[in-house]
Amino acid sequence: MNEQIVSTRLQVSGVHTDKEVKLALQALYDVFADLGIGQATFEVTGAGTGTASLFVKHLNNVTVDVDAVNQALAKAGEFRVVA
Amino acid sequence: MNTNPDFPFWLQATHLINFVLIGMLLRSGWEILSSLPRLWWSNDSAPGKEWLRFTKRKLPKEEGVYTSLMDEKRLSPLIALPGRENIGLGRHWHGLSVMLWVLNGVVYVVLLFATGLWQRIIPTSWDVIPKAWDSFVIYAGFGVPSLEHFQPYDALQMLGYTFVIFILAPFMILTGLAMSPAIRSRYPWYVKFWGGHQGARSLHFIAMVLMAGFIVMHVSLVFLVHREQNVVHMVFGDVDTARYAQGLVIMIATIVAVIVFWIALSYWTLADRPRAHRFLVFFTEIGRKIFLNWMRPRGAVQTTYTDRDISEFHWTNGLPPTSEESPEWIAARDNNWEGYTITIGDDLNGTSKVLTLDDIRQLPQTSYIATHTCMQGWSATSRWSGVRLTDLMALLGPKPEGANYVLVDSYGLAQKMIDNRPREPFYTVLDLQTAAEDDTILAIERNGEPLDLHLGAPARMRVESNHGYKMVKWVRSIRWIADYAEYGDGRGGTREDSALQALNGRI
Repeated sequence: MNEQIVSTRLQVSGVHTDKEVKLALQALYDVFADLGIGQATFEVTGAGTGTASLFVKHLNNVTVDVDAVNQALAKAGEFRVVA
Repeated sequence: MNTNPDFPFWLQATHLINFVLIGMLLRSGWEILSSLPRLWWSNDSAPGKEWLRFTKRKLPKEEGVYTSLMDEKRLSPLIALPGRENIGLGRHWHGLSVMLWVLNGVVYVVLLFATGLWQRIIPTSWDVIPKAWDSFVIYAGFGVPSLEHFQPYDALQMLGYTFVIFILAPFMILTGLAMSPAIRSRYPWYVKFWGGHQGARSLHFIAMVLMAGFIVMHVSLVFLVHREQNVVHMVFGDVDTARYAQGLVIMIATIVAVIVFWIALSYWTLADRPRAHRFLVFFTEIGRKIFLNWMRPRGAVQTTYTDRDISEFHWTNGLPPTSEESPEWIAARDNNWEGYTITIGDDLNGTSKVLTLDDIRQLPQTSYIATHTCMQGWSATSRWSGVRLTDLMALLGPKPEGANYVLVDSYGLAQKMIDNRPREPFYTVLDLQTAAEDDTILAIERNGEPLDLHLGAPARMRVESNHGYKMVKWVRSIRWIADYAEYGDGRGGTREDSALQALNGRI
């Protein structure tokens, strides 16, 4: 099996509430097709760094374009990939 | 006060109630549509085949890489009920509203005929056609038909009201019902009559547009054509226009109050979504119990849908487990499913049995054509083959004493938790009647081939009387349980917990 779905984990600052999660996802969904990403999940634990974990799923031959993700997130709020 | 026999109190009351409920129906319908703002006539909801869409988002045609949830749009609570990507609650509001709307409509129609007032609305002579044309010509010239045209309605009104009450409203009800999995799995011919799930969905949308257009025109004409008479008729049931000013104030205040009520419902819902879920599902479950729970699917014996109806494209929600989610599933996948196991168990007594795919293949197999529908609106028709859940669970022996449900969970994780906490395994709960249905199976083949990875390989649930959120993919375990309140957030499944869908997914 050559092409498989894998996930990439990004740490995003500024996303704390459910409202912020939904706003961030709406902005990401606008560009997902262009980025080759098909699914995203935020996990907001509130512990440690104060960042939220963003898990995106895509084919293993796709490299997540963090700059494009950041551009999309910036349209939704003060959100940014920090790791 | 000169009481007008054409506008009795029951007519005023049902008219006002209809106004309140039709607004709730439209607003909750827009919430549902915003979840997948595309419409198809084809049987596979394939990207690029839409005949209408309300989004600029791209939907690639590549199957198994993108999910339909990424097409969900956000509507303001001022527009939709409740708004802000809450399709589960939007569906419940739609369900409650339609139950009350139909009840109000039945009361109205019964009284209309019982009192003889139907003769004021339903044309009884072909003369209505030329008279309606005369009125139309006057309106088209920005004129107003004289008061004598209205006895109490003019011919154009009679045709319009007859169409809306006796054709459009029933049409909306019938096409709405055609989107119920319980009805589809029991009466597939009925759904095919409407052009399948997508045909019914598109027709329902067109009817909504007509209804919304009628409302705009109807309300406009109330204020533009003989306003003084209309106001006293509607507010007081009176014919004396001396109270016009008072009636106008009451009417406008009522309209404002209703609009405030509509919006308040949205914010009440959003303020505590689980509370709204409890409230709404309590009432909508009454409708499901009366009208849908007794319907049993008959996929293996029905002849309406055949292999010729199989869809070319199949959407998915939730992509396959990754190595972080389930190393066991990944290892089995990479080893041609060697080592893949499903545990069937009894949580009440702590017994369990581990099955391999070969064990499952040894059991009696069933096969049928069925249409999968997601509560978002997409659908796809496939031939599903596998083992009836009853045969599978029989390997454990008789149903344990005290077992009231069957819980199925997945090697994959939920796509979202309601509070955005770390994801937990996807699961769902079936009641005993649903679990025992002939078309509730553990499927291991689709269209005669092993399942695709994104559609649940190597084994997934099929529960044909319900929407897709009850059909767990990449199944890990199936267990008898006493009460679903003890699992997850206690609402009976991942989509019930996170998206506030109903445990009963029959509509």
